[in-house]
Amino acid sequence: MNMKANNLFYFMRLLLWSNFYQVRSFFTYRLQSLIWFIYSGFTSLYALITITIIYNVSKGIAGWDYFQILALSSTITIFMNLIYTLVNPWSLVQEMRHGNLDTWLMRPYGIVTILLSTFGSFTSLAGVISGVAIFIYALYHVSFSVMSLFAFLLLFSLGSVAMVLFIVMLSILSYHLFRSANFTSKLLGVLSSAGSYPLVIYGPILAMVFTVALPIGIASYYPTETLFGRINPSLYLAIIFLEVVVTMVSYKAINVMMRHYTSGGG
Amino acid sequence: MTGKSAGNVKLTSLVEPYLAVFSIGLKNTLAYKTDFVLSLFSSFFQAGLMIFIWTAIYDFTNTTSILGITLSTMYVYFFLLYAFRVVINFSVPEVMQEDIQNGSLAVAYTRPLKYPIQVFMSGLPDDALYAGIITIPLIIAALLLSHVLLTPLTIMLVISELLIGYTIVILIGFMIGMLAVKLTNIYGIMNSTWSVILLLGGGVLPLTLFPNAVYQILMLTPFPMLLYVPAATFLGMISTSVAIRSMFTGLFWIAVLLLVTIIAWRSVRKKITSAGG
Repeated sequence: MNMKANNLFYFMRLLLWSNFYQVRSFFTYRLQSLIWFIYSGFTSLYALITITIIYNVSKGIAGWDYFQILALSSTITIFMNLIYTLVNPWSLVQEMRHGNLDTWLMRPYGIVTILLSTFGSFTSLAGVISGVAIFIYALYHVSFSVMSLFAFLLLFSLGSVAMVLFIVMLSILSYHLFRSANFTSKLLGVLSSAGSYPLVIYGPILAMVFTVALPIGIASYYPTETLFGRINPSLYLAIIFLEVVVTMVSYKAINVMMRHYTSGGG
Repeated sequence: MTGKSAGNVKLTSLVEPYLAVFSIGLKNTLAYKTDFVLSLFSSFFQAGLMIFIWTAIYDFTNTTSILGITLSTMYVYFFLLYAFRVVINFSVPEVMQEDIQNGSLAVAYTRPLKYPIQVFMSGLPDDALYAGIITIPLIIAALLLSHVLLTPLTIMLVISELLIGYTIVILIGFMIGMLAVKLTNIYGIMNSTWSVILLLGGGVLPLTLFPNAVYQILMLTPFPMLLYVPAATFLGMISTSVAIRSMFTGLFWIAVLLLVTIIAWRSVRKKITSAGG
């Protein structure tokens, strides 16, 4: 079989095609789809309300004003919704259990391309959009340089790629270990909460955990710190190195685990 | 057979089928034991994270109390919050939607059981396990942390409030589940509702931190009974009279929701067509 590589072109092509059919089937339930979009957007407001109340009744968190925390929190909102747009861990494991992934594996695409383009929920795009809106609103009220914005975008993009692959790896691992993805879904909730606030508040050990072991920090905290000019060049390069390592290790692990994949029924 | 034993037999034969539904639900829940238990433990992590966040906030604000809530009270509040989440039963509308989508509703109707009770019983195992694995240990942790000496009255109030909250959630869940008859797919509505319930029920922050006008309005709704009122009663953040008033508000909402549910169910059940007619 002429297996097409996991490159961006094939990924985009498969993503667009599979989403085209997903969108069509999703809009079968019109009212439902509207409510889903509202809900996905609402997830951003949730964080906005919480942070607003916290900063109304207290001084907040040391070194972070209201708009900076809002920027950090919206970064994690964008990232989490991006994950769900590309791949919903729970759906992925369900499809693996029921053997539905097998039909996709027959197609001439790379495994990562298939995993990232066929098991997402495109309604989460509404969450990405509302997250971006809140992020822009927050940026309007804080000072930053154009240079640091570019540095932020690079770190955030690489961090997002690394974390998306990391979550896919965890989902497949969860399938191998438990045949279920409840834990991965809950873990994502924990990471989302943890990543919404500066890692320094968790103390050195947990900060290290959220940087290296469960590296949510590379997709939210460190990019946001970069935006506000608080990361020195050597740390910046170290984070980029870490992002590349997480990407490569996750990519390799996904391929290795999928070689040993057996769906429901063998 | 004496009248008493005949009554017992009748009661047993009435309850047994529902216990069978419960038992199947329990087996389904425990089909993936490790994953289930690990996922439950995420509640401990979430409560732990909240403690770190609020410690940082109190430290920087350089205060021992925010709107009358001390840091230690805040710690315990979050432990209780995740303990009391047992009342937020998500399963009723999920089961109803699934039954309507895959046609199981038609099968359920052939059984000599009341459908609403079947739905409730199939989701009950999740709550029972959550209560055993998460709620009780977290309450013990809360007691150790807070050094609160619970009086019998407080215990009674908290249990009553949790039962009222649980009933409210079940009724709201059933009402949302009924929408599946018309809409077929109700995931969006379910998730939106639970998010609103968590936020307005004190599941993210103690409601006293909301602006006073919002707090006063919220206390007239059924939502605070789910998490905030039981946790606040436990911690003595609200007086006994406020707790009792909140309970009456909760009972009022149960009556309203029950009435609406009964009327709606009578109308909806005539329109039920599962997939395939």
